[in-house]
Amino acid sequence: MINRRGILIAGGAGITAAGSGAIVGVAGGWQLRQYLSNRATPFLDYNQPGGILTKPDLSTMTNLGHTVSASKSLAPDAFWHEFINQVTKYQNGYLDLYGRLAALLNDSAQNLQRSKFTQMSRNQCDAVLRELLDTYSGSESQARRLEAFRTTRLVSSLRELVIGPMLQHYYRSSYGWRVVGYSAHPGIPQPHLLAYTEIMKRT
Amino acid sequence: MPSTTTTDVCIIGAGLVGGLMAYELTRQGMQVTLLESGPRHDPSTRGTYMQEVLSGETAGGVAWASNWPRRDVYRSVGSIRYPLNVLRAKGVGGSTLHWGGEALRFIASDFEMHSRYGVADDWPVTYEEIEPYYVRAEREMGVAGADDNPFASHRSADFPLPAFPFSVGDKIMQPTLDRMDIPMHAVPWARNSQPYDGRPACAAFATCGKYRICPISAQYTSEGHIARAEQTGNLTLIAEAQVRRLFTNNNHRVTHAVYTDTNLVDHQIRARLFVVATHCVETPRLLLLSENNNFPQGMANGSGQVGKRFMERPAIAYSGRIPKEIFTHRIGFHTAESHRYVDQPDRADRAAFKLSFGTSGGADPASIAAGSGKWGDSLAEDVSAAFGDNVRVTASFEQLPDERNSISLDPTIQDAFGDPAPRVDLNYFDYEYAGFNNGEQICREILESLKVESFADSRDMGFAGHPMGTCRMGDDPANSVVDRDLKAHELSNLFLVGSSVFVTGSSLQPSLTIGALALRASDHIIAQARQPRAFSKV
Repeated sequence: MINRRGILIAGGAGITAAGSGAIVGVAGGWQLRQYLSNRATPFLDYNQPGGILTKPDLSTMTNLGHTVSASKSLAPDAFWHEFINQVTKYQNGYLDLYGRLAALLNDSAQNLQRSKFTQMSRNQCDAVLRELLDTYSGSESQARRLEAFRTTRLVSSLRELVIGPMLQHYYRSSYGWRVVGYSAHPGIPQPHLLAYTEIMKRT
Repeated sequence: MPSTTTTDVCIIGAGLVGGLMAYELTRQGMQVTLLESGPRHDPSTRGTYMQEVLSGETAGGVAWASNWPRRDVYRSVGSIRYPLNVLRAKGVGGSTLHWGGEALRFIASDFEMHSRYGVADDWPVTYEEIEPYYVRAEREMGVAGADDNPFASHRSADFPLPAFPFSVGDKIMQPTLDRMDIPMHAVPWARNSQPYDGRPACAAFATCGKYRICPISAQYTSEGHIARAEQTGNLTLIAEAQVRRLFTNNNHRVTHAVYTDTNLVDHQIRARLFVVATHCVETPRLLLLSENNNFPQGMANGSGQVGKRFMERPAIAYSGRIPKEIFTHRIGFHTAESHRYVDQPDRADRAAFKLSFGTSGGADPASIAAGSGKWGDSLAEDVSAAFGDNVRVTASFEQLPDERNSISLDPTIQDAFGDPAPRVDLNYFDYEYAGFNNGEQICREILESLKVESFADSRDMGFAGHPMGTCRMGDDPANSVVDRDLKAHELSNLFLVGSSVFVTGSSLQPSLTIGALALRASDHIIAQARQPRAFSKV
């Protein structure tokens, strides 16, 4: 379970208010930099209502969850379905963002691999992500290099508002702890409670 | 029209002091009303709280965050930024809801800094006078420890519970520290190493240190004492009651307190006796807010000392990686310390410090992932490489009382009720920085001797989150706020109890001393209450 407050905390660091973009005029350099900076800032439209993704979009975003996870400790689809549904349902703006990102991932997959994101191998998905995220670093010069400049903000939202919280969710779970050799959060004794002194004897 | 309640004793603040005193007084038959500004958390849901912080649902992993930020506004103005709302917990249980649980006694010299070292002032009471109350506090709170600390002052009774054993990492570090003549010893924790007082033994959920949650109540909170006080039938607990003023008559007696509930409705509590136990920020704030014609500088503030000499425990931490598996995060707390430097001959010139050895922590996988910029197997490799071999040495220092450090009423910021917010002015001076330089050198030498890799200092001089001072005790009403029995010099029926009355701090944690003072004050009140015309004279 995840609540609305947690989602805000998880993703809130990079969110800016709507309508804050500067206008490029005959522009001094600082105005252009400000414009580019705003364009590269993650954005969530709080006016968009919450809800549940379509099945294809849910599959796409679930595949994103698998792609950012460690291959040696993959979580089941249900793990990501629960997380994604909680995020999109209870927090305004995320349904819209996730839907647009699913489209972006599929467009990129089509361009790069002639395939849907959900139908690609892990390595191919990784390549799509790398193409999207490595190009963008938030700096002015690199932002300019993006061929589809209008997607800059969407890509930065992918990194800051979606992948970041996904990684936090994954690495806090038993699947993430398995990456470092524990079967769950080490403080949740498995399979039943053991007194501290018993645990120390075992280690 | 405010409602009015009449009681024998009104205790303001349901933390460690409030819980212990409510229990002590109610079981003697006194009618006690306990007021708490924060909410009451149901202990049976602590497991749910733990799941929430582990999954990241709770803000920043903090389960005890303010439930009403507008009530809890403050301003930090000193050179040391002080995030007050992270460092305090408002709720029934107070700071014991989110404390680490370390239950150390001060040492004898902590009470005699002027006599021994010519700095600050002596307490009006000695370690020997407090010692029997340390014994009682350890029993009430269930402290697990061992009499293996060669630097501790004398104790007249064993710990009620055996100590937690050294961790795997401690055992790896111990030979190196022995060679350096820095002996390790066990850490006294108010956490059950065996079932005690109706609570289970610690099962190493490992969420007490980072997340401040014990899902099974193996760690002490004052909620147990409050529940037992309720069982006497003599306690009325009122949560979410922000006490905003105390009122006096012309005989220098507090007549009533006024609190405001969450519906912004005012209520009066009339009592024979008032105990203010709202820690080092809200206690002086309430006194300053309660100024009147008889107390134009603030209640009990004829000395001008209310709010003055605010202290912390400055702290620094150093960490590094050793090429050994030390099973980090298996437990949530550290199990070894050295008090080798808590009372050195140079204490006149520089702050003493305590060393703690942390082998149970370091960054967890989610924290490592957070700032990496990577994903997938590349990130997993980084997480695996960065996890599990982290050792940490923390030095926590004493801070001398200094009038430049203070709690006052902010002239511009107001809380949800329109009252001036607290203004926290905390700075470190030469004494602390001299100690810091010494402590830093020792920490570095330890880690170098351990041959750590990736040495890192966690921060500049920070603090441990243990506020002290602001209403100090003393025999002279001209320069202190309360007497040796913690009664306000200027009022016959007002007691201030908690670390606010500390004359000096220590490099050692203050909570057990707070508990001991609470029990001592309870004894005094019980004895005095049996006298005719009790609490009627200044």
